[in-house]
Amino acid sequence: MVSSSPPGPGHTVGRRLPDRPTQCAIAGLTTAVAVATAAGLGWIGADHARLFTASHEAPSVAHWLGTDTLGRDVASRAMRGAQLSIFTGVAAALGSVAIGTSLGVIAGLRGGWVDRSLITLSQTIGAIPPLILMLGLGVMLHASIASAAFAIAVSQWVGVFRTTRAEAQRLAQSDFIRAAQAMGASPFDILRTHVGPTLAPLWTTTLALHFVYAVKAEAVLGYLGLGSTALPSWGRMLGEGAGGLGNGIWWPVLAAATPLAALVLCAQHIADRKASIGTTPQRRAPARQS
Amino acid sequence: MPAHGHGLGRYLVRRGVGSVIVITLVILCVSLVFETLADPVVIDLGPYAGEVAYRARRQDLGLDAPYLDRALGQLRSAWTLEWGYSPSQRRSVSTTLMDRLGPTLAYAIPGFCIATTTALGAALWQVQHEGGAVARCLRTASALAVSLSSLIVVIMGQYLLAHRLGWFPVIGWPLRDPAPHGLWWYVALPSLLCGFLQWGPDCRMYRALLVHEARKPHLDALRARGVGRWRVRLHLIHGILGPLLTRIVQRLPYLLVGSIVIEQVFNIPGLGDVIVVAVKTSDLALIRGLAVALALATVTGQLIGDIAAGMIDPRMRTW
Repeated sequence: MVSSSPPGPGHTVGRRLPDRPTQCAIAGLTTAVAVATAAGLGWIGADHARLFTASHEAPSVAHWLGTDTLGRDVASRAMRGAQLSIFTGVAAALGSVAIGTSLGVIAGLRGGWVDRSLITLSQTIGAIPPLILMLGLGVMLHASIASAAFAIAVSQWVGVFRTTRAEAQRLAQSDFIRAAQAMGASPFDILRTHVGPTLAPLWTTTLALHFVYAVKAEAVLGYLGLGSTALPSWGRMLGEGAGGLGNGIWWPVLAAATPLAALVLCAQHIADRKASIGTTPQRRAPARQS
Repeated sequence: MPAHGHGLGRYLVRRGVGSVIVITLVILCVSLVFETLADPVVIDLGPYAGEVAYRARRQDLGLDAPYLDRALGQLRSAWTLEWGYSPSQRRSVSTTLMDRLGPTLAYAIPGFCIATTTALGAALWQVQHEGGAVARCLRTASALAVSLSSLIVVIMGQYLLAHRLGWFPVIGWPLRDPAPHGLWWYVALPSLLCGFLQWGPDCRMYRALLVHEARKPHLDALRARGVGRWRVRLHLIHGILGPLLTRIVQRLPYLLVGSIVIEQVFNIPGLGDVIVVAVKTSDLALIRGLAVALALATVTGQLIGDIAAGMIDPRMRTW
């Protein structure tokens, strides 16, 4: 039995189960990862590029999400789209958090000219519109999954850098870090033992938020025809299917929009939950009569 | 106050020098990405182009000159706001940017105003009626708005409101001049969708700021003294004016870019549309012009935002 109410007096507080919406979000994400893995291993959606005879065939038993303009099975393409979205989302989020975190920790703990140089670098990247950087890198490095993930990561690390740097600066002034330094701990030990565990909650929240952004960005790249062409993309499917909506051909858009919206919603909910757990102050009465 | 004036002067000089360095680095970054990471001529002509054609195209694009000369030339062109000729648009980059700015601002400014006012109103309502049904609905709606991909919002918005219901035209810019039904008729739906895309994140941020501010003890004291609801409301807004203004001013440069998705779906000939054309055709002059112009706007916007926020709220003053 799941309970979101606080335990009463004398109740042993263990590791509380998440509330119902969070459980649904976790289940949704797990399903998406399972579908993406199965698609990657070729267990499902293997015939996504196969041309069947009838184009724009309505959903049926043979093709339960119909076929597209070229007569390809829409369900297979949607399942392979999960593989592209999740891989790009995870790789881009890990990349941006890794770059932003490592540079932020270095800038915050070292200070001086290292800090100033890294701030200038972050301001430079921050001044270039992310869209131009993302589209430019995506095209210049040739359209592939890796180049899309790299382009998204490079255009998004600045926010992580600023947050991590501020936290690292605050930590550098704290007593326990000074005590560790006084006892002769090496910078690596301080990072591993103190800085890493302290900043870990911040990184996990940031990772979830960047995953959401990267999935959306990949869809836009696919829609513009600048993403990977090796696999079907939900964004490209939306672009191809949007023209048919007016003629009553709704299934390609539904097949792409539903998983995209669900994946982003689940990841956003988990990011919000993690952020609220980290920042919620003690409960107080709501502000009245303001 | 002389000390304050000197402080602001020094701050302006410091930020000005920093901005020059940042813009210079932006130019070098753009040339690194678009000239060094990949050969733009190969992208333009394809990998099987002949040697003669390849050399001629490099000469056309000015890529046969030494790197230092090219970098200096780009720095000069950035500061004179003349970025040369755009092959994809068949006219100068400056003219292209000025022509394309109008259609983008025509839907982006109304969208921005709609998003800012409605998000602030919704956030205020949520804070004042915390726990109420409407407040909960607004909170859920803002969470949904943040989660939805812009692609889905724009494509479904166009389908439902223009195709199915016929309340708006399907295109977002008139095909001939003068527009048969007036310009506002065409840009109404793109403006609404642009506003909706910004509304979610804005509403959540303003709510977070207001919740934080509403917990301050001076507001409890005002309420205890029986000060009217509207005056307390004004105090609440005054408390968040600094960060609010910073966000608004910092978002202004992004109005110039608009939304690529909206411009593609509604066929609006704006700057977002031209970015896609420039990248797809490897139009180096246009890409450089866009990047530097938008970087200049971003740096200027940040500077104005910081100064304005510091003047309104001394706690945010950094000079």
